[in-house]
Amino acid sequence: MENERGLSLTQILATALSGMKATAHEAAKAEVTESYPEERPQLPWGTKGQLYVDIVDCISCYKCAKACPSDCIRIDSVRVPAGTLSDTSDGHKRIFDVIRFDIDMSQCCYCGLCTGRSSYVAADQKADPVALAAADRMAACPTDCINFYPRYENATEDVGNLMYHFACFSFDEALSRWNSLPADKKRTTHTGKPDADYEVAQESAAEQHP
Amino acid sequence: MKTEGARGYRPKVEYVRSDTPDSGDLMTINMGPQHPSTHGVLRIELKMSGEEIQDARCHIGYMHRCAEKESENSTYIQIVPYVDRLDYVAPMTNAYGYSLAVERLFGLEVSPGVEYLRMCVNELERIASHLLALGAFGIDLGAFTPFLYAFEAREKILKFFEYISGGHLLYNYIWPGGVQRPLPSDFRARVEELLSAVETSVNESINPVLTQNTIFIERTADIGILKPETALAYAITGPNLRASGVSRDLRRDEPCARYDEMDFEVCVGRGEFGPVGSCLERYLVRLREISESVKIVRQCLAKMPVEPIDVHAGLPSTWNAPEGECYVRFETARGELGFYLISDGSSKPYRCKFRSPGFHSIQVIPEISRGHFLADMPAIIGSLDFVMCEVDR
Repeated sequence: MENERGLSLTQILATALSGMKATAHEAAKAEVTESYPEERPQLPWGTKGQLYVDIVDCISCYKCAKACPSDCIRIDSVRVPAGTLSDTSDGHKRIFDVIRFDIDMSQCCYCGLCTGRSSYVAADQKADPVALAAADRMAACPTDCINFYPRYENATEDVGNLMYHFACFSFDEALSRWNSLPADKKRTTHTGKPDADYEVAQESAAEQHP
Repeated sequence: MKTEGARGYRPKVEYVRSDTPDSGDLMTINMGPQHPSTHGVLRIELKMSGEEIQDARCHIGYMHRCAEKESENSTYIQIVPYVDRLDYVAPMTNAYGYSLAVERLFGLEVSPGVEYLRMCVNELERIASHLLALGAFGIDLGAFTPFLYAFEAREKILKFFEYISGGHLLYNYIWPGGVQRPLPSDFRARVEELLSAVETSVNESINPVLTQNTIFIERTADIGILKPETALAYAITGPNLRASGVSRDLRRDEPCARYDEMDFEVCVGRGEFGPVGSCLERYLVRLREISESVKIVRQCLAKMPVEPIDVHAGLPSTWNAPEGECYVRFETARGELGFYLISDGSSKPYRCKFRSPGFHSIQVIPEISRGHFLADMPAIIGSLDFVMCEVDR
């Protein structure tokens, strides 16, 4: 029993059997599949998961928003008198109240261009001060306040839930501080389109300090 | 003579070739864009005469997302994440090709250690991409098991990439002038481990189950014959061209990076089981290229300096490019990937053009599928191994 190429049925069966032998050998090995909800993977250091902002370290420099290729970071901030806010953990002065620091994780492309120095060190050098200092040159964030942390279960039923808000000062708090500023210090910075809240802040401030 | 349109140009829309026999009695079958074996969103309009394909017409563009235009509005470093997404099966090779283009534009020097590191990562990515191609080719023919074996080995490589870069599928790791993150100290040991895992998987699992299987050989040795002259006429590159018997590999012919120092063999279709250029030859060329890539990775590891490498030393201080233009082509797992950049002196490219190998592979589908059965179509598509994300850009 041969086909047009001259192969006999025994040959075909022999190769099929050797394949089955390999499969049987493979079946005897240890399982490689993780049963996901019960076993969760241990993600390595620096995994590009969820972006997290340590807002008390943010000096509102907008470098992360400018570095972002997909424009997913929106920041609004209001000038406050020097000394109102505590310094950052690495000694930067803070003179801007961050009233909005929103990251739209549905737009984030997980490139890591916005992050601080902690994201630019290798997996096993996270405690090495020399490596961290070398990473400073690369990092967009000067105060290491925005970084990835290995959270990966971000799925929601509504895409709006992927907008993460990090600003800890309420708008009213910021406005009252802003109102107490002398007129020549009343500067604001913003990225993108000024939203309604921002315009209200300007209008009400203008009313109170003509 | 009647002319149509303002310029007298009349587009020639010809769905069925006029020289096709019995063109009056053809049935149109739509394959895709959601067909699982079209490797993404490709729609193929098939003209069938019974079970036989008389003509095929590929409709592309379902994944078009203006990658080139988007790149022209981004700075040179911001393009790297977009370039990763051209070919999401092998992002490292894309980023490497782009980085070489930007380095030529900026005139950047990269230290040998960083170059060996990037070549090492690039060849690992080629292995990962070929493993996916082999597994997916099997699954297109109904062989599910080898796909799992290939994916197990590929997953090990992806886990390693996650360890060094932080991303599991899209890395943004290779940058113009260096790489994003420094090397972990156990890099070398982990790569050695990976290489032996890949060799074991190919030799002990994939080869006996798929490569040496007579049924598989019989099924694929005679279909989708791509003749060398056709391949050259359609500008096919990469493993698809080499399977047709044309020995052309940009890593050897136009060595960029430090490929000229590497000792490896360019795998060409040998025609052991039938004519060259068949689906089986394309499969076998990819299979042999895996072992060649393993050889290159071992040589890179041997040449890499033992002391820690400063991976950020070659990065430019500013992303403002000097005025000029450059075209760099690079051998990826799918063929010749070209980057054409024009700079007007700003931090963003004035014009950015990507030449993707998959686009050319798709054009040849009608040519090589005529006269085959409909059931051969998944095998032909699977053997060409294109990624629609890269085709549409």
